Amino acid sequence: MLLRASGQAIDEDVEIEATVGRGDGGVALGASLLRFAEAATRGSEGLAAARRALLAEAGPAAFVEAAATVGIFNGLVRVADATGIPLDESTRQASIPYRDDLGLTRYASARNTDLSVPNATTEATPSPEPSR
Amino acid sequence: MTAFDHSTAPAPVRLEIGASHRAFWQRLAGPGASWTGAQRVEIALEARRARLARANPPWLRGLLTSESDLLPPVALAAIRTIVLDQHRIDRAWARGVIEELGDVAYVELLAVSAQTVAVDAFSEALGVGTEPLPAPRGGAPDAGRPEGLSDIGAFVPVASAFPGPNVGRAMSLAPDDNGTFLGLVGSMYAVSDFGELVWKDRPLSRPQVELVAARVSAINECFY
Repeated sequence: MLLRASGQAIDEDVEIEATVGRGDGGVALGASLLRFAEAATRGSEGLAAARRALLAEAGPAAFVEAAATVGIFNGLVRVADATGIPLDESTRQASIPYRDDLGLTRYASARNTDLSVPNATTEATPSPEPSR
Repeated sequence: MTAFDHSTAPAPVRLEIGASHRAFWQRLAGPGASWTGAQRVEIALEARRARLARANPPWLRGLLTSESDLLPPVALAAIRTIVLDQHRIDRAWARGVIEELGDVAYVELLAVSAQTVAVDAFSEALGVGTEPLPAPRGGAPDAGRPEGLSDIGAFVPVASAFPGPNVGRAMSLAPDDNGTFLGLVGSMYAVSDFGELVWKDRPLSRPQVELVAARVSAINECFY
């Protein structure tokens, strides 16, 4: 959501399929950033090479920003999923056009947000009529 | 040597990142609402231990066990699930853990685990060793429970009003730990400029940062 919106804000045609491993996102240094993020998150043997490549291509300051983003988002996803925090309404709306295409609704954690009801996280559910 | 001085990193690290990590370490070592300082450091140790197994196949990760004189088995199992299989967590699992630990203790345990993962993931990505865990401080848990919480559909009650994204109030039951967590978020990602789609004077553009963030979330199968 923020990926697409921030790309549009600077007239970049961001390819969001890269988030699920297809392509380089169409942003500068996309391939190196993605290799680094994947290797660091999975703990794969390719991390050292991905680190060297990103450092050489992006420079030290950008490399540190990428490492910081990897770090904090590995924490953020655990907070979100372990609390079952509902998707923010603006994000829920913005994700409608592509979440099925990207396979996001197949994630088990999608169950934590009711995607079928508008504003489901804030609307009260009416109590059923008492049985007689 | 100062904790998190990052002097061996292959690139200079902004000072506010080290400061936020030290703030978490300081908070980690002392008692919380439900756990002693020693128990909190033990939670961090278990989270660190579990994270090392993340590259293993699922069947092998499932064999991971541990024992502790400081933490009950349900807490140890919860930490491993949060660190290794957070995408499998659902309401029934959370309810079961909360019934045994209590909701405040569960959120405090989550806060320590998630922040440990964030700090360790950064160190590893950077190419420096993980920081030695802090020595626990004494003192008893204060059994505090914040007021002004409500049910917005999460597994736990959260602050009724919050100006930012919901994840920022997900750990409202542990306000001091949520404070250090938001400090990490601010130094490692964004806080004051979160709502700005164009980031000027930063080493990476907003789309570059969001590309990394979204890929990390997808690998973790996090819908949020």
